[in-house]
Amino acid sequence: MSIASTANPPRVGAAVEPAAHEDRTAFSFLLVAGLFFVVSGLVAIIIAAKLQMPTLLGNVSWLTYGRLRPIHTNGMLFGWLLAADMGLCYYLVPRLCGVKLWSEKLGLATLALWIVIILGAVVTLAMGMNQGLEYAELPLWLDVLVTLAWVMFGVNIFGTIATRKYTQMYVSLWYIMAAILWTAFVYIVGNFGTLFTSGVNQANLNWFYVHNAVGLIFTPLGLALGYYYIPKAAETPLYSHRLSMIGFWSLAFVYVWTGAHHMLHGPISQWLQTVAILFSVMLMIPVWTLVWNFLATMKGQWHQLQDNVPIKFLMAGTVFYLLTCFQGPMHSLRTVNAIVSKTDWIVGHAHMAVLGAFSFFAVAGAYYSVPRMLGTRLHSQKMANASFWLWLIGGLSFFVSLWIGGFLQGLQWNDPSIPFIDTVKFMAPFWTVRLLGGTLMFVGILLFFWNLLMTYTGRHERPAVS
Amino acid sequence: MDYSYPSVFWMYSLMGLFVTGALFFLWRAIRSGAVANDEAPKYRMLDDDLPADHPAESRR
Repeated sequence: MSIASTANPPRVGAAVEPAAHEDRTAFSFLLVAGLFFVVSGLVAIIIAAKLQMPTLLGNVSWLTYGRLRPIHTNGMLFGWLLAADMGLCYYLVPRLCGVKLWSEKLGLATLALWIVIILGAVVTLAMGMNQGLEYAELPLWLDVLVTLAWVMFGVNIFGTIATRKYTQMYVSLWYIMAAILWTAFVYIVGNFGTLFTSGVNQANLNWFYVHNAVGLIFTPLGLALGYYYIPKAAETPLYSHRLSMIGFWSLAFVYVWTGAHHMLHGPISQWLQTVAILFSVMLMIPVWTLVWNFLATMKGQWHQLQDNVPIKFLMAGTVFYLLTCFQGPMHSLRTVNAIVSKTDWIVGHAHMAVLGAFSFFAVAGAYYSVPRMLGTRLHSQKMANASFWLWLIGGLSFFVSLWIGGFLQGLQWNDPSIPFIDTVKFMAPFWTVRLLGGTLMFVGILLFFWNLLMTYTGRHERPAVS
Repeated sequence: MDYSYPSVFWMYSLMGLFVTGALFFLWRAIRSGAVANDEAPKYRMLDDDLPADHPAESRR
């Protein structure tokens, strides 16, 4: 299958000798991310249980809902998912470039700083230090450290890409480079730009940040993983590289404008709301190009769903991505938004994007890459398979219960004759299903982390089969 | 004075800068060959795992 060497010769002046991949940074990032996944998942179970039992742990200030909830969101977004995405970038970028990582030392220093940031976040948020802005709760000094760590990550990745052997770049590299630049822009606006504004302007900037934290940080990184791991795990070429580039550049043009759809029917300009709706609907273009590309790649390979665990995660993640990206444009329409905005529907939607689509891609990447990093085989395929079914069943019951409950909640909110407290009581059974689904997912997280840990500790007992 | 519009315009002018930057990099990428009408990268990436017995030190 390797026609690349003749069709695309090495760049002039590039290193021509094959390079070994150390993967120390990549593996360390993944292991730390897995640990934070467990901790953030445990916090998630506690706060979901508090919706059932509001007095649970209520007498301990640092275990109250208001303190644990930002620990959960920041832990999942930055402790787990972004750290896992970074680890997988350290794995796949050198391979796609045909060279070693620019600097393993810089990568490990970035990891050390990242650990300081996450631990600092847990301590400060538990102490009640909170800037009061969604996803931007961390104190200013931690925001500065995040920016510094991101610059270190960016230097390492761009340094690797600059020394690549081939001129034409695979689509995953485009998504990763864009994610690094977009993250810098989005994070600075959301965490520093908001300090210079107030009122509705601050809310507008904050929603720009919150939406694009998913849209311009986790989406491009997640899609980079999908584009890399689906062909690799299925051992079949991508359906169309040309189509993937159309998807990338169309996403680059339309995603940035969508944040204001979180403020529809709010006190912002109508033209701004309309712009946000228009570009939200236009998101269908990059989403459909991508989903079609992923599904068409699997043509003739669907039998692999029986026993290929990374492919199971990747295909389930693709379906979750399609669903979440159909929901997004639809509830940016004014009429639909009037029902679902601020309800539990949105909570289900956000969880399906981060925990369903992009976490599934990252977990698939970890299951595929970690044994290859260590030159071994996965500790237990059965355990990996069990984690998939726990996540799928738990996730579906979690997401669907919140969609149904949230939609009915929205209809009730639109009826002024229903007292608000009755709409809260109405949600109790849906929150019970959410807790049960979340618990299943948490067991899946434990199995995932244990499997990675055992793969590492038993790596010498199970040499890789070539 | 209404401070709403200056900040909104500021935000969207930043986004305009963003789009301009994307167009610029697209133009540069096409010129340099980093974006090309060629399907070779999707085949090349299938064979990107290198032998495990190479030297293990990094460039830095």
